[in-house]
Amino acid sequence: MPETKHVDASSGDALLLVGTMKGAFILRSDKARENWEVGGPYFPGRAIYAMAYDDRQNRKRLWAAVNSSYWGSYLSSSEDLGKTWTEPETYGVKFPEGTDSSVKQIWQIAEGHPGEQDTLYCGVEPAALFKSTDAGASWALVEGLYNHPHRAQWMPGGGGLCLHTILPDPSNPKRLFVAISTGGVYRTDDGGENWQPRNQGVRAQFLPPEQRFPEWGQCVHKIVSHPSNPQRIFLQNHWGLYRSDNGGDSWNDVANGVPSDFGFAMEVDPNDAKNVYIIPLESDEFRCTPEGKMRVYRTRDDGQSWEALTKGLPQENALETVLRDGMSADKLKPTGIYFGTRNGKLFGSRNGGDSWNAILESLPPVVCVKTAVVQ
Amino acid sequence: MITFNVAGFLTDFANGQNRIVLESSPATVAEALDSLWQQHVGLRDRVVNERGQLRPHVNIFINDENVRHKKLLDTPLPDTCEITILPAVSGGAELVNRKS
Repeated sequence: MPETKHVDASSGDALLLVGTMKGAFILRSDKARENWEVGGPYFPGRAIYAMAYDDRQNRKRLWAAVNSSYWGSYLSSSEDLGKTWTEPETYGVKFPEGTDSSVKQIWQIAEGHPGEQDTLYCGVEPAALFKSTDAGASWALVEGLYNHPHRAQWMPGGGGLCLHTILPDPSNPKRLFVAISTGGVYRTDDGGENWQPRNQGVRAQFLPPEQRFPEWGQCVHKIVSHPSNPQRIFLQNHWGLYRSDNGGDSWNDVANGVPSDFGFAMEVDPNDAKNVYIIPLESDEFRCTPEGKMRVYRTRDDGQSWEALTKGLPQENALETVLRDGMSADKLKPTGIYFGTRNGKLFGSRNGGDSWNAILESLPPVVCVKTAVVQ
Repeated sequence: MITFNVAGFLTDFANGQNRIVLESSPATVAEALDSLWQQHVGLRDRVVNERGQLRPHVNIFINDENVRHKKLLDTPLPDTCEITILPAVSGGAELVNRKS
């Protein structure tokens, strides 16, 4: 087993939280982001599907979704940048008595609305949403979504039936979006009591032509929006690239000039709402970057056009896959963009994607990349 | 007398012990596990899920018989036996498509 290394961080430092199929890594750099120190591996042998950094209310708490094929899935936290992690006697995220489900994997950890400084959400497989109002000390199933009549008909995608994306509307404390593969986008406008599908215009390529635009049942891979304009949401689908201008009520195709509208990862620039990044993959069967070229695509005009960002990225024999939680942007300026691949490479840009460099190249398959700036 | 054998990672949740003798006389594997959880609560969620079902890549042996070839957790127990909890050979390697 490799020796576990640790990092320390000061105010203003950038953090990269990298979850892989065989452990978690924490990278630290100063705001220049030229050189990175690497901490880890934490939880060696375990799949870390999600990570988060909760710095609200003067906390400096890391979270990791630890998935073991033997021992189940649980959340672990650290108050010291990973030097020590909690190992709970009982798992906090569990389906309650009276349900017929058991947690297979924890897929996502997300903060609640801005006014809810102790609220966290957790998305799991089989698709369900859990909520904590005590900063993660305890969790409860969001029964309004669990009891939705559609749930019995949601189907697993290639990675399982998962609730993988949680997107609060910062302008409306009662509105929250979730994305489910395979179920689609669902939205609540009453704080989680009731949920409605929001997939008009999003296609389901795996259904017969006459059923290809159902009300729900799409395999949505990712949705993102910028806090300054929560009505505008971008969606990366299992075939399909979309934008909504009305909070998800309807979606328009914005796959303009991309080599493929199949992909997983998607991210919005925290410093500029107009900039959105995707990493197209060639087909649902191949699932690697098209033409053997590692290309990130950026739109600066809300999806009307997309430009390929390639400087510093391999353009030959690059058969890479970036998964749905594998790309993240930091809030420093210029914006830092980072992504990890299933082949264990971690790339980063310090200038909004104009140029890239390889940060690490021999990790286990990367499944999650998150960023944070230490306050 | 019922004795549990645990190894490796699981001993972290059994006060470092790899052999745990039960005070009770359980009739089935499930009853024996319930007694085990009372002594070492941290073992429960790691061996069974919240429905009380044996995790898919964990095996339980009564002496040398795998309960998966018998009645799982409803398997009756003799008065004296060794119950061994082990990670299965099927675990450890994730399918390459996971998380996609």
